Amino acid sequence: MLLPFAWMFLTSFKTYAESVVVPIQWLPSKLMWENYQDVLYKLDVGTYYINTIIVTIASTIGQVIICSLAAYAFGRLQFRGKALLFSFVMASLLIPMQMTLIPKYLLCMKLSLVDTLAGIVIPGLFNAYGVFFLRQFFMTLPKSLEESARIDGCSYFRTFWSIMLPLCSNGLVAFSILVILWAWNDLLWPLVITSSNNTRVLSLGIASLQGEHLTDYPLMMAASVMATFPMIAVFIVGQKKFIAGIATTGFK
Amino acid sequence: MKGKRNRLEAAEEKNAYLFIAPLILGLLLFSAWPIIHSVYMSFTKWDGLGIPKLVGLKNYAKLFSDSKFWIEFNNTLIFAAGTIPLTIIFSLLTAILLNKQIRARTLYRTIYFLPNVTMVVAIAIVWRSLLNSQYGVWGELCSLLGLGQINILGNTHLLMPAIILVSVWCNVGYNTVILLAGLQGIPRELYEAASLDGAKGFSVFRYITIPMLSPTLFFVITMLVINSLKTFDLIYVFIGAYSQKAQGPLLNSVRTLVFGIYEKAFSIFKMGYASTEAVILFLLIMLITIVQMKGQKKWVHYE
Repeated sequence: MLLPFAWMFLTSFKTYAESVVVPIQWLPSKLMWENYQDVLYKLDVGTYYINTIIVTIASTIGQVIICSLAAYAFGRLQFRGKALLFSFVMASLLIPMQMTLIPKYLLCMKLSLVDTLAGIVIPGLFNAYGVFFLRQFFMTLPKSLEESARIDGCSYFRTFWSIMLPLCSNGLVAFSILVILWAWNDLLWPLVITSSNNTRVLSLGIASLQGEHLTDYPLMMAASVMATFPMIAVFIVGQKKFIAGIATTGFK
Repeated sequence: MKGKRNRLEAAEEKNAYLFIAPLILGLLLFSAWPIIHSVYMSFTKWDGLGIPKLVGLKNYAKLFSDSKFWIEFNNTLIFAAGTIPLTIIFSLLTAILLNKQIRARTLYRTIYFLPNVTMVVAIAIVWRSLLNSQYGVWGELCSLLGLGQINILGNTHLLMPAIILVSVWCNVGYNTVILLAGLQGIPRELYEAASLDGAKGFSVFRYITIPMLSPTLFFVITMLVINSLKTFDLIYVFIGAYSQKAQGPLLNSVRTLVFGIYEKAFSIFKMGYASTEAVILFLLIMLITIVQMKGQKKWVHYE
């Protein structure tokens, strides 16, 4: 299971000659930090990095706000057309993203979002899965909390924001990690919507580097380590809540 | 009193609509409308410029007689048929092992989950390097075993099986976590009762574990089917499609439906024709999902 990670990590520190020696040399003779410098400064990966961070942060904040507001309303408030609207939201889960690729691209063209970072983020903000996921957390909270808040004269938004939301922090953390992973790792949509070098995200940047530097293994591995490491860190830090979140909501 | 109650309800309703408004508007714009538009476009001919021209069912007729489409269709099914059973077998075995009282369960779970948090692009690049027949671990293994050079990455028969195995490697972690949670939900007493009755080994697995786990298994299989029919990233990077060097028989041996949609729409700009393939993919996924839903009554036991 770990071999590919070890291979990626070790190769990223080798010289080019060491990476293509037969029989293979497992350990680099000295740590070539230069590979990382080359990747960052010579190959524009710095730009891709910043773009990816912006996209990931914007997607996470946007999705968490939009989904938790809707999840709260669907989980705890009464309104006409609730069942119908909720089934509309759930139906959108069945639609493969790949089917909507072309019209979404055309729509973004009309909204002048093509080849912008906003174009990567905005169409993905409305995540039905997130609504479904967070709604389950809201539904477990006791009703009395809201009633006493209402008696104290709290507005609906205040009740949601300062009472209900903090109580769902486990769910929010799990969902945020999911969004971070999706946003950071996605390839297909950025590939479709962006075209220039300054709007490239990491996944796309690395795929394009592969075209020019296919056999320069140390360089490609250094770029891969840089793309992978932050997500491994995020996962390890939040894994307890994350795993509990996906394991319990996954099949209910 | 009644008036006040109604006012409260009206206020709640107004707030609820405000809360769901961003989501609903966004879904209408980026989900509902694109579906309708997709279906419409599948009946048109359009190169991305000018005005789309309605051509009736021509795209569908053309697609069904397009040998490339059938190659993509077959490859997609082969990929699914290879990935799904292998993923289920390995995930189930791992989950059962982890469910035994072993030390460092969390550590193992973390390790198995790592591929799921890793960018598919990076995974493909690392595996390409590992499988290189000259400088990779695969090359080393072949020469140790005296097999000579077996070039997986350039072989039209071996590339797809290799991609399937890599995708199994990617999938096992997530599915193990879900199955493990399912296993832990099976009451201990059932196993105790079974062992009192003298059941052991495989019959316990067959008559207790599998039926009790069936709702979880059903979820896992359904998700795997949907996801493997939509596969793209791994294949795109594995054959180095970005450089557009990959062409001919090697590309044909792994190209999938989503790859076909992408290529038609964004590399040769046949938007209408690409939409036709997207509609077919959607129908295929719907059909298989409906069949699964119907079939679940036969083997899934809900309490």
